Amino acid sequence: MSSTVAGAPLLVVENMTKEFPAQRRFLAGKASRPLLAVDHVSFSATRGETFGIVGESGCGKSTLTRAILRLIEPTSGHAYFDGIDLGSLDATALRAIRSRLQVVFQDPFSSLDPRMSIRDIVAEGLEIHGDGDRSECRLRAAEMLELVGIPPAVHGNRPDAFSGGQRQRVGVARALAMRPELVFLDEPISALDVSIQAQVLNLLRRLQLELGLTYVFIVHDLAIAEYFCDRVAVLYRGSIVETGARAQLFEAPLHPYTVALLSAVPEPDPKRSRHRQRIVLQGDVAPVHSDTVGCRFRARCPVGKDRALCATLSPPLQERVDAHQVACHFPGELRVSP
Amino acid sequence: MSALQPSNPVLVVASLQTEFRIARGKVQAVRDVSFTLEQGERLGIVGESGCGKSAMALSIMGLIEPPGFIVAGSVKLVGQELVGLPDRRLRKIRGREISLIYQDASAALDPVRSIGAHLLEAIRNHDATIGRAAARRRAVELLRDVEVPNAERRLNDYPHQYSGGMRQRVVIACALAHEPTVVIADEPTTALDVTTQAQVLTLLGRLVEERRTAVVLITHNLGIVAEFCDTVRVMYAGRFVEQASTETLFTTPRHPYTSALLGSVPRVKQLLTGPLPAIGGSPPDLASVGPGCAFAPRCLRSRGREICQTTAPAAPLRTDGHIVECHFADEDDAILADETQ
Amino acid sequence: MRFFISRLVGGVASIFGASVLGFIFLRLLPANPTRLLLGPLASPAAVRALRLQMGLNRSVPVQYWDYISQFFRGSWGYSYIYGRTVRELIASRLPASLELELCAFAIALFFTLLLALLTTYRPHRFLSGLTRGLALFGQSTPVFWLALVSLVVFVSWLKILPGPNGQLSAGITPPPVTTGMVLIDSLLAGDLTAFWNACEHLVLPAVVLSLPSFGFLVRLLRANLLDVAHEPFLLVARGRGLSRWKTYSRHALPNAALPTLTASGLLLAQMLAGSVFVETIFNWPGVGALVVNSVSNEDYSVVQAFVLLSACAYVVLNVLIDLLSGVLDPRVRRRAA
Repeated sequence: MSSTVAGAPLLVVENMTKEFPAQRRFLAGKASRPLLAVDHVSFSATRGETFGIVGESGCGKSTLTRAILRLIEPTSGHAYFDGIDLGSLDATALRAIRSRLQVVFQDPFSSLDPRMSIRDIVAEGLEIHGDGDRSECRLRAAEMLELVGIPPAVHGNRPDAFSGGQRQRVGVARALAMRPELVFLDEPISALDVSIQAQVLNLLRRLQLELGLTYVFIVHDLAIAEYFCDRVAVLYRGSIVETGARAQLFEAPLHPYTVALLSAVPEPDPKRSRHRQRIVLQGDVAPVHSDTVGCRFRARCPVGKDRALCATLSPPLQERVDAHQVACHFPGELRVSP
Repeated sequence: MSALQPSNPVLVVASLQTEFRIARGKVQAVRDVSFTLEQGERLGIVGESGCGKSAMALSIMGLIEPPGFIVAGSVKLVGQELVGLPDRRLRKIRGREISLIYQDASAALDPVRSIGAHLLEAIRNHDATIGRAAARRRAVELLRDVEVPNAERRLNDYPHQYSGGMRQRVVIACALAHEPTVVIADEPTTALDVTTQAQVLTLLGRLVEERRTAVVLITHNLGIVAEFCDTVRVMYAGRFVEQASTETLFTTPRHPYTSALLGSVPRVKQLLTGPLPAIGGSPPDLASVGPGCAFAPRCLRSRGREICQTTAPAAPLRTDGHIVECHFADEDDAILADETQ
Repeated sequence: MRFFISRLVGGVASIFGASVLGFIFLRLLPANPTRLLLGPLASPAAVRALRLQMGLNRSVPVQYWDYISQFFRGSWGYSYIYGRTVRELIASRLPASLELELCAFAIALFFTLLLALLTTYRPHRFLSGLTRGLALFGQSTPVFWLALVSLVVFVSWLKILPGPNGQLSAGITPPPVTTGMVLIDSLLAGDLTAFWNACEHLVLPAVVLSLPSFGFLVRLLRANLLDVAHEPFLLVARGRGLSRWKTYSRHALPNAALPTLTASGLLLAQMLAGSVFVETIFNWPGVGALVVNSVSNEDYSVVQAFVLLSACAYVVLNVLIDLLSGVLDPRVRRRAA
């Protein structure tokens, strides 16, 4: 794990919000309400660190990634990459800066064009950016593929000749061929087998050290988040409920959602797991609308369910201890015996 | 469930072999699998994709269709032999004495039929005499059992109107409708969030506890096995490479695959630093399994040892019921780094 | 509910659009029906007079409005070539076309269901190959060729079917007209000789007409069935103890049938719009042949009415199919509503 580099923040996200407008329908009786997928999310990632975003399905993490990268247009908020406001760039400038900001997607099976050889897939980005001529790009692509552990003999093959783990490596190679500074990893290993996951994680770390990369790692598996990330933000229904360094967050979580989430993770230790106190959250997650009032976790929260304050006021994200931020009126109240 | 309890097995699988005959050859998905399941026992089967666990589940249920065939072995459910039984007899047993909970709940339900229709079908399939009103009452009861709120009203909803967790509950309700003796759950929570997973597992635990149902839980998630199961079998390349009680397996794993697997999965509050001890290479192609141990190409213990490549290991039963298929079962290896480091 | 209403309103809008377009295009054609009627030697005055009488001097929107309001009152114009009102003309020819097309459609549907089910329920290599071959043949062979060849084979060579002389042979007395469809009328009248004769005449054109649709539908249904066969919910149903057949018929078929249903509705509409070749070759007294003649004779009114009717038929069928889809598949309702 890279030591926490006390560098300038490479990525600063401020109040990023994405609202999907109400769907107007022909002969619509009542129009559906606007959906608030991402609600004023702010965080920063310093150079060389791995920043994790943890959340379950529907929490908005994919939307957040896309909004930051302007793959979809955010409703409001800013994302500053190396001081540059991504929202202010025109199409040309945006494309130029994209070579410094890359993404590795979740699904290794559908994120690669099945008709191109993997060498061409990796070289494509380089060619688009006009970085050298065709043969040079292919050379660099080959280098990158070797770096991720794919031998030169198979560079001419198409994606269907490779396993899931190998395809994910190709995805990584493609992202890194552009020599980016920041890489978004959107659930890069969820679709892989357990034993392959470890291989890919090790690869990612090695590359981070060798190439001096900064990662924003989006994941739903808490154990992997804890292992891989320096700092982690927990996302719930579109907003961050807790942020902290991994030791802080995982040892002493403050937000009841984080506590419940951690207690829900099954532990591969039968002696301990049988006696563990677990909090099982009831109910389901429903989408948030812009007119929702109060803390969005309240309905399922053992701490705030019956508390007036939680019903009326949405808690802001505040720093409690030493860069450990939490959005809760009663942080730390929910505790589980280990 | 210690080995000294009087034996009352509800499911006995002996030397089961299933293969798939496809264009590129014969894929031996299940190679000589045997196990016994006691009443109320919770058996966990751990393995990665391609190890044959789903094929095994389907074989037990008799749902293997050509090009797949059960080529050898026996499956005895409460004494009744299932292999070779014609489909019209198996039908009476499936869903009543033995049930299947499938992995992907969103795909396990027919999208054009309501939830109520599914439950009614499950109920009336094995009970032709039950009247419509009585069947409907039972359906509501089943939905309530699995903690679906507003059961009465939600009976008329369609699968796409339910969330993933709720769909899985419906699948469980259908599977337990006739209080089967054995339930096979194939990756029942893989597609679910961690919190939903916890809900579903707690629910499942309660239901099988109440009914003393035996469960075969197939998963790749070791944590779930540790929490839910009494006994574990680790499956690799179509065979059980290690079998033991949960506690024994996690404290003293003896097969190199098991210990490597345990070591390569990060855990919460572990605060590991340094690279993960990963297993090099990839799972074997079941169409071309050689004579030796299937794990040998990736096994650190087998370095420089010929016997691992040439002879398949036997599995002598040890005193504590712990079965290991390895020539060097008693060795302890320090977890080494994988090949990409 | 919102779903159904929106579909209906959409349908009406489509009909309106089609009628306008049809009207405009016809008016744009470089045809001069008045001259055609009066002959090349008519005086300009006579031409002008006739134009006035036919209302061709007014502006197009006015003509259009006039026409539409007349149409819905049942007055579809007058055919100067045939000397009858268009409505009478079409009404007299429509039943024959309907009879032919509905038979063809029924044949196509029946064989589609039969063969698709047989070949996907259990693998039958020979039958599958045969079905695929037949489907390909039906889709790729031109209908007129099929019609002509079938006539040669069955009438000239094998002599087992009567020739292309319409719905009934010359010597048979037609049954009293109730529906206009000879097949049904003869049954209603109890006239079995006429019925049998009508069948003999119907067989060839109906089968020929059904082949292209059959080819398309059977491939579609087979593909859908094969796709659905892999869906996990089928396995789960069997895990509950359902028999293979029940799983198939209750769960696989409805899911596979939906896209096929939509397509078959469109095919039927297409067929209704005129099976010109078949009608012409078999001398079938239907609407298709009528329209072709009218186009070459520049008989505006017939063509106009036909365009509007076809548009209506298409739209109505489409709306019905949409509604049916909504009933059968709850997801369609939700997505669209």
